[in-house]
Amino acid sequence: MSETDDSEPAPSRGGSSIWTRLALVVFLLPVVVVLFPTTVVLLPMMLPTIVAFTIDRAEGRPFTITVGLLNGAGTLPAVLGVWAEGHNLAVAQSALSEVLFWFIAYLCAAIGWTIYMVLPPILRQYYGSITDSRVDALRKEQDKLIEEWGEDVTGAAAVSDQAARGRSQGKKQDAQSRMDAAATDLSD
Amino acid sequence: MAEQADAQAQEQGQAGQQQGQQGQQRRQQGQGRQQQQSAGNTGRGGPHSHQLALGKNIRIDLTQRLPRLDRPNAAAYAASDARQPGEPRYALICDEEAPPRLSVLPALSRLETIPCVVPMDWDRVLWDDQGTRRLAIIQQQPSGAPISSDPTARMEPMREDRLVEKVIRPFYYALNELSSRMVTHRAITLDNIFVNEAAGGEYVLGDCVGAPAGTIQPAIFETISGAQADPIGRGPGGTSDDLYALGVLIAILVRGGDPMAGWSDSAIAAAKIEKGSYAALMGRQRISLKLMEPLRGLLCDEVQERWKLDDLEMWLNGRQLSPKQASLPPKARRAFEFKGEGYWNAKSLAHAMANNWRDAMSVLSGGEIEHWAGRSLPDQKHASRIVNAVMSSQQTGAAGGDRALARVLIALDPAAPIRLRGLGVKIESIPYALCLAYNNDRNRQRIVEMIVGRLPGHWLDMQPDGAADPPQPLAPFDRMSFYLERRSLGQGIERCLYQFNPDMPCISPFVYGQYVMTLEQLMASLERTAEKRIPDSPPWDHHVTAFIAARLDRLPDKVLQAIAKVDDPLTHHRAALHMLARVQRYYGPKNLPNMCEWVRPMAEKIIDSMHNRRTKERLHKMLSHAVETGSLVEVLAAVDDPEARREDKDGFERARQEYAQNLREMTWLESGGLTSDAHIARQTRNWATTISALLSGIVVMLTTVFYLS
Repeated sequence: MSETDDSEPAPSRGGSSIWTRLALVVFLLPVVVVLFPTTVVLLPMMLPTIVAFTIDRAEGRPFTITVGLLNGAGTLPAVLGVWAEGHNLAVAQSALSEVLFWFIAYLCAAIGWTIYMVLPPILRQYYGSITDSRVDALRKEQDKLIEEWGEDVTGAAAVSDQAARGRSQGKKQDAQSRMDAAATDLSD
Repeated sequence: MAEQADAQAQEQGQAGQQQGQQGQQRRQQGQGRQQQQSAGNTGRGGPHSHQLALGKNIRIDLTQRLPRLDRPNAAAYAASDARQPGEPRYALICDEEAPPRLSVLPALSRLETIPCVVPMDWDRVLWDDQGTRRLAIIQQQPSGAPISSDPTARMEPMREDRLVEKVIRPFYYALNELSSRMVTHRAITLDNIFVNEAAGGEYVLGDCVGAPAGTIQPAIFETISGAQADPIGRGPGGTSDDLYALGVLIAILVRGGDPMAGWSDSAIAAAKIEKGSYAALMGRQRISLKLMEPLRGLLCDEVQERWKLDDLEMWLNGRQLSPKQASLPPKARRAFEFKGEGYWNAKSLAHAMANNWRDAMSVLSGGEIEHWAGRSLPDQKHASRIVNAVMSSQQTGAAGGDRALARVLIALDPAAPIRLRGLGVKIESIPYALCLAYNNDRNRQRIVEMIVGRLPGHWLDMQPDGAADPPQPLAPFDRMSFYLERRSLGQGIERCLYQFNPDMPCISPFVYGQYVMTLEQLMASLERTAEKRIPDSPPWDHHVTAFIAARLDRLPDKVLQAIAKVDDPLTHHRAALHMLARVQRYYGPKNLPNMCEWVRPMAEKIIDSMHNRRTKERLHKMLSHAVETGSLVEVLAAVDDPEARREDKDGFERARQEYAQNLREMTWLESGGLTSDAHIARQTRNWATTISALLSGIVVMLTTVFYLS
């Protein structure tokens, strides 16, 4: 139940982050060059994800992931179309001019955006009701404990009686041994 | 150290004041009863019938008082025994103020052949309708009259042959029989020796058990140390004390009266010290050489040299023994001036100082004794002991002044009793004296101070080797001091009373008037008390607890220690119940319903100290059943089962932890544990990414299927 504040800025990226970015660029640059037609299609269609990325400051960028996953899935028909038609700039331009592809990509992104926006009030309602029922249950349990053990169980006036010592005695022991046990018990 | 002991003695004294008030009430009750006794059986609160039964055969006739046989705390009544109707008997009806010599009763029982009144039977008898019980001692009724009812009266001097045959020989026989049973008479007085002239002038020693030993024997019949002691501090003594008293009796009978009649005890002791007992008693009286032998032998002031029974027997059998010469205390080179008089020996000086306490205090602080002892006393060892005692007394300062003087007096006269502010007590009689002085605040405090101030130990240290007769161990006094230094239940002065005086009945206000001698009687008496009305306080006061602690061998120390914890009512009540249950178990009676009802509130408190409601309900039911059965053992079992207590404790601990855990969770929930922005944001992240992943997966799957088809 860690209570990390969502509003706090993402951890600052230090020197190691610069190297990571550099490595990413070094890796992506050849990919962009080789898959340039795909990149041309992806960039505009993934614009909602890019926007989400820029405004998402939460740790782990959940908003970006939510929008990005659906936006990416929605871009898949366009990318597959480019790959199926020969993977050149002309095909890429043709795909960019296809309204359906835009519609699918942006619809999926919108769904992701909506999910992220709608979930908090729903969850707040849900957890509110869970809280109420759990508190009721706990209160009943406490009442039961008080009924069985008295007010002292609340801890306000808890009296811890003498530490029990001595050997265990069964209920059927005779009077002598019971008295001996009681005497032993008195010694603390 | 001295200041500490002083404070303890003071504390004991103050604590005793409360008991003193109780004692006052008891004394008043006792006086009331005494008056009722004197008045016979008339009036409210008196005996419930004209006749009391003791066993099947003995009847006590309450209409027939025998004042001449009375004892200070015991009235005498005529009695009869159906088994021996011709033999006259009488009963001493004793109360608790000054207990008779119970421990010697079995030894003397039915010793009918000796010329001495001996007990035939004894037991408690129901005295009145209020349930008052007295101790009745049935004895042979002596025929004839006392030698003299008036100790100061003159009488016809007795002829020597008659004296030997009618007094010395029979009394030797009586004292020999008593001695063989380790018993002393200690009540040899002119009014306690009976002579029946009609039956040939037989002399018989009177009762020796009805009064505490030594308390009714006048100072003239006492040895020097006995005369220096107060009557309560003389004690049972030894056979040599009885033989000395016999010597005094012979002297009085020969002279035809008490030569010291009207003298104070102090003056009698002073005369005996100054001249020696023989010279002080006989003066210029001429007697035959034959009688001089036993007189000098029996009246010898040195215990080791005094005639013993064997010597007397030899003399009676006709053997000639050389008369003992009086051994006076060694004379100093110069006299010590005290209150205008010169004292030529340490013993006389100590006696004078003991009887003039304030003046003696100023003399002690002046340091004159030290110089006198060092320069004038012939015995250098004795002198150095005195000097050491004086020097140590000067170091103690004013706080320990009385005790310092007492120590110096012991050093001056080691054979004398321990004396403190006018009270003299022989060392072996200290426990006994404490018992007799219990209701006298002044004397009680002095005796307590003697013990707490370690005077018995000092007395023993000062004795020349083998001088103490009989040899006295120090351990009992250390034990008494241990008890006196503690004021808790089961300790204190009450414990000393019962622990060191087996004859002492329990004088708790709960059972006073019932003459409780045994633990069984104690429980039965408490039951009767509760039957009339259950008192507000628990049945274990200082006396009851101390009486049980002293008489019940099987009471573990830890129980007593727990009883003392009055600040912890639970432990205190548990331990006290445990003690009472033990007494009932070992001594009965089996059925004590009113006692159970009496302890019920305390038992309920013990149960209520537990936590589990169901356990408490169960135990309350068990307690009710135990109370109905009248068994304190069952009451204890109901309320103080260690296993149930342990289970309750463990269960309660678990419940408490559970409650605390629930409380923490409730607090967290109510403070927005699940509905806080942070939690909602976190859950949103989780849910949003999950739903997004699922939906994107579906989209990818549909797209793939579409293109493949």
